[in-house]
Amino acid sequence: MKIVITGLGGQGTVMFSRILAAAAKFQGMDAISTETHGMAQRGGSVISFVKIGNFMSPLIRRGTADCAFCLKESEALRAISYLSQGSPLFVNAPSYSHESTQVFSIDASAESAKLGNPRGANLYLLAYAIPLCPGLPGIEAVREAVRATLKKQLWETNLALIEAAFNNEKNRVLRTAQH
Amino acid sequence: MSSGSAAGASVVRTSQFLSGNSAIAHGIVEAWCHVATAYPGTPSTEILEEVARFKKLYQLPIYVEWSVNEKVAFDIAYAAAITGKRAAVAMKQVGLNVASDSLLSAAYTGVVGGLILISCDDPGPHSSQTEQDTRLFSIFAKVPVLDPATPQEALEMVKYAFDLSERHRIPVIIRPTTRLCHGLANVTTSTPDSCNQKASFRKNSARWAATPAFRLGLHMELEEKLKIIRAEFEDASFNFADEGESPLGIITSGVAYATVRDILEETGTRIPILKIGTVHPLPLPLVERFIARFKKVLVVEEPDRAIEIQIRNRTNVLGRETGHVPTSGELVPEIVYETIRTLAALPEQKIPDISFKTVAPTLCPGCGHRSAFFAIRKANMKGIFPSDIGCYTLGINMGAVDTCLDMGAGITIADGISKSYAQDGECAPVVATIGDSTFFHAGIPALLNAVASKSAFVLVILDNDIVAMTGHQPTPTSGIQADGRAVGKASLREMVRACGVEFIEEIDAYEVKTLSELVKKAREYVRTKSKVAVLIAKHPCVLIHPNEKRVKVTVTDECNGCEYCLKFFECPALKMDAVSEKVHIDRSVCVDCGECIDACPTKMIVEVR
Repeated sequence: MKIVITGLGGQGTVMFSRILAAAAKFQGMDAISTETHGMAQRGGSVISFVKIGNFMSPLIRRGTADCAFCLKESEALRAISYLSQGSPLFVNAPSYSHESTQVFSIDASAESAKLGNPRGANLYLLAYAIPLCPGLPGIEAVREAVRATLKKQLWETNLALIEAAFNNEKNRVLRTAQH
Repeated sequence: MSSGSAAGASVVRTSQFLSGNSAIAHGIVEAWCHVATAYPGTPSTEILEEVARFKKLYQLPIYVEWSVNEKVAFDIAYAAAITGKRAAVAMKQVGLNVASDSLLSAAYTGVVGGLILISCDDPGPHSSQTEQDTRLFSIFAKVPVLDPATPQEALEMVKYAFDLSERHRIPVIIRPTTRLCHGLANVTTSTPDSCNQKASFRKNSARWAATPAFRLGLHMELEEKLKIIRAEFEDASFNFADEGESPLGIITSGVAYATVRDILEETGTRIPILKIGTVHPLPLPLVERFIARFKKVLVVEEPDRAIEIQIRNRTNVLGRETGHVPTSGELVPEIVYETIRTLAALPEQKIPDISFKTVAPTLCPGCGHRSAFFAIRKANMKGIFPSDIGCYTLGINMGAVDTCLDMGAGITIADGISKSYAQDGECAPVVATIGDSTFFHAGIPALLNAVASKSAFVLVILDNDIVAMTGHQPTPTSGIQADGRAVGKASLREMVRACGVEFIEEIDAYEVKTLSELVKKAREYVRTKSKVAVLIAKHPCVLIHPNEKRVKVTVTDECNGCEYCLKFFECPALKMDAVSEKVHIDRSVCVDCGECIDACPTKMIVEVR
């Protein structure tokens, strides 16, 4: 499973990829990832790759990613440029679409702000995507990953966020449509 | 020289998800290294930070230090090694250029305790001035170099390198690249070993103080060492060749090996690979036996040709020399795939035909450097602005950075440009900038030279009291070291005065109007007295010390959309609204520093009370 994550420096692409990799580990799967550091952190475009399975290189070849996450709408095209035909893009935006691929657009920033956790947009997006993308780690693994990666005082609010995203109305409609 | 685990200690092995830099750091502490030094530089910075973290975690006596520059860092590690202790020094590839004077000499003198130098290359480049190849440097320096392909291998190579260094009494280089440094994978680690090595400097001036007369003998000895190591590398476990018949074979190393392997697995293609981990001295019989099996052999390595040029008979070898592999840029998977596809039957790639723009990095909202650059340009619109390496290089977005060569060149280039114009009787409008850490790294000799040759220019030292871009490491004025212990403090102002500068003014970088006046005053001094003038524009990095004072601002409706503020102040919180054609404040980015109030020539940015 090859996953691309795009965003801007400081948005949490690094934390996102680490939680994904940790979740994979909890499901007994190997993971390898890469992050952008340094110059790009100053608000510049950043990209992370997470590969779950038996891989040696952390890099993903353009046109072969199985799934992409985009934490900022302006970075969506870059994410799409990595996707293989028909693979989904999950983007933190109220209503983004692109003719070349399947886009799941959710205003994760607004949803997480409603829950009093404006900085939880990334996690919201991830949990939202779990039921819609079979190759991703399961929701329980994501919960474990949150507990393993974040400080204890942040567990309650973030686990609640995951529940809300997982049970989001739009998400449930999409899930039903898939089956 | 004693070595080995503490008596009766059992080794506990665990699996951790670590970056390549972390894995290297863990290898360093697993190998009972006593001394670790470094200078920050992407992608190497986390190596020393992780050593410091493991020191605390495992309660180890290892000495850790952020040195003032890479030469100093190397020398300290080398010195520990000649007292018999294991030492490691880490840097980015251009830092190796700074340490090279010492490295080349150290190859001749040799070492006693193991000495490893980790020099991180940056194909791309993602955050460096060159795409130079540390492995080529190692050939020139006549030291062995190891090229890890994965974080696990990097950890194993660190331990192997210490042993190799001790047995042959030679510094050993390890060369990771950005994708390995900042790539994460599951790594098996062992509990750090302990060893109470005692310092013991055994006098031998013919070696440690070798004058030219002795250097020939040392050189001959060095060439012999390399011959023996080359033979030893024939059996090194880091080199291995696939079996199988094929018209084409591939020789590869480092992250490129990992990329090639994944591509061949993913496409189900059988092309035998010879993976090289010991790049120099290259085990030639092993390589030549491999080449003899195939009609053609493709060499895939980056960022330059280190394996390729060591191969003696290249009649059937394809690579950078033959134009099969691009000679610049990172070997991303799409490029590696195309390179192989021209020689073997791989399906065509399906790359989405999508072009996209990326956002360039910029100074953080509230950064003191932004205010300083704005003030400098205001005072000196037609100025020449030599600058240097650091966060402030991003002043290029504001039109305030005209040159950036390497560490310390902000001052030397200011010096040279001024002299070139002065020769024609002109006083060039030079206002150079340099950061506080960069000044200590390489700027002091440059400033001394300017005074000692009566050069005349304005220098603004941008003092945010930290090494910011690389992740906030301490400087010689911080009074604190990598492991948190308290240490002595230098004074930037007194250092400048000690260089012989007579015009020195210090000011908060946020005081844009006053700083602008000071720049004008300094320019006048330079014009009339023909001497160097230094301004120290201070403001702590806002990521570490957020401003206590909050000044909320707004853009009034009278904004005429001239974009002066966007072009010359360039704060990411100032955004142009495409619909209203006016600038507004992005509250999710703004840190309420209030500095933009001075950025509007018609005073449309005001404080909200």
